[in-house]
Amino acid sequence: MKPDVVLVVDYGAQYAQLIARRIREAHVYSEIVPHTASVADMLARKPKAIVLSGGPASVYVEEAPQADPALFEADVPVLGICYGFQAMVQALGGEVAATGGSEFGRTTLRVLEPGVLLRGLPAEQQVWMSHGDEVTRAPAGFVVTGSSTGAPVASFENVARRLAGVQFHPEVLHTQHGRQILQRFLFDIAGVRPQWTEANIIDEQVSRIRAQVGGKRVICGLSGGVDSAVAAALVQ
Amino acid sequence: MFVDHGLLRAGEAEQVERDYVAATGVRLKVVEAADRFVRALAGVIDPEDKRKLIGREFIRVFETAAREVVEEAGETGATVEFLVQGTLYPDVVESGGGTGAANIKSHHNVGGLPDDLQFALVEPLRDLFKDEVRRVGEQLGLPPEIVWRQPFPGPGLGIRIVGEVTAERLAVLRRADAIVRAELSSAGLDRDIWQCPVVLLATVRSVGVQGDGRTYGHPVVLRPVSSEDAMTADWTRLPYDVLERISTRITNEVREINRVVLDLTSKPPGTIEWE
Repeated sequence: MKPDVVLVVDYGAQYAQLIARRIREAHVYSEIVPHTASVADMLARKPKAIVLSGGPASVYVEEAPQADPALFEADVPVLGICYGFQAMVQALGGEVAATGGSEFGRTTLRVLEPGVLLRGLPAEQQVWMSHGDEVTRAPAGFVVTGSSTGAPVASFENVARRLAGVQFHPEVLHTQHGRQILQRFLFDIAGVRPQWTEANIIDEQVSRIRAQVGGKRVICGLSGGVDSAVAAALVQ
Repeated sequence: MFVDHGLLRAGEAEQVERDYVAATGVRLKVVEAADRFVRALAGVIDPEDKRKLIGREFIRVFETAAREVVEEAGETGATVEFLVQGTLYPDVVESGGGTGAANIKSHHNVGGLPDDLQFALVEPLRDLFKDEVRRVGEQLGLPPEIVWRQPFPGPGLGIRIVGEVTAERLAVLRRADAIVRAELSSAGLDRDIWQCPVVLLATVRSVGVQGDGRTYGHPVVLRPVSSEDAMTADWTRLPYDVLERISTRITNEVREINRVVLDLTSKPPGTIEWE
């Protein structure tokens, strides 16, 4: 059985792998795809949800990677993070302003309206920010759920369309309730099932190796480290 | 196949040769190549030269041994068609999937085998992150020293000696490193730190006094770091009493070392390894 898969679209952020790891820690299989992948390519992998990562660009810079509006019409749940959040706002008709200000590091998020993403979490919480531009108006149909001093729209959601976004980085440990926020999106907004466990990993890899190698002989170099040791043990 | 290049830390070759074989029942071919690597490294100072040279020697030794394995199999009519590699998901993302990161240091991988010695690759960890690999390793019953071994570079201690790598210097560094690992383990800090390279500054000497005599020995650097992914790292605030025990033991037990210093640099700007 193939587990549910969540795609992380990499906008060139150092955080894309961290997002994928956090999703897997919630026992959901996730893969990273470059932002250059087309919407058709992404949908061909039948993702149960898509997360747009942060990235170093400003949405105003020429040739800045954009989010294809078609992505939000495909009836696949999407969470935008940082740059991905801003790209989402642009694609859906909200407003991103280059105010010249910026927020880096620990910031206080004020909850305006808990909605689904922030339900049951403190009215004020520490989040990790790293952005220049800011979202000044959410797209139509979205509820603004949180704000900070440098980000009047710091989080929003449209539960009916299963779309949500956050300006801060829920994947880093400095964001107090980041894990819960990611899991709210995965389980409560997107309805993904947690099916990725060690036993599943081993079963799936062993059956793949059987299909590839069968009873033939293999050679493997051991370095003394964990990677080659586990690879060889799986094959053995 | 296990190529012992002589650049591993104390006890690591035995973990592979004894504990791993006992846990998995693999047929292990050991290649003792320590002398060859030390000879090749004679007079080499530049870190990138060391890395390239170790990589090149490694692939030659591996190639020779792989040919022997193929020939031995051939005597019984069997073939060896596959090569298993422990490629992880981050390598896959960085080498094709992602948008590309600058090559800060040349990495050390098994590659570059000649055309007449080609295998189909089996990469069962291609979809996995390191923490997942560790959990799978535990589930498979592998020795905990291997499953929880801190990240260690392919060129090994060869890039933890600043200056020329010699058999004597390797022995000195191995003893100091073993003390650091033992003290960190007994303080229960193994899972809090990402890794703690111990670096021998073989080109530096400082004056010391031990007993009634003047000494003129080498310093070692402790480089304890905390990290989630090795992309960024912070220096670990080790408890003073642990640092004290490490420092006292090293200077008492390793004659050639008369000074222990602590590296307080985050990454960036400093990389985790010194070379």
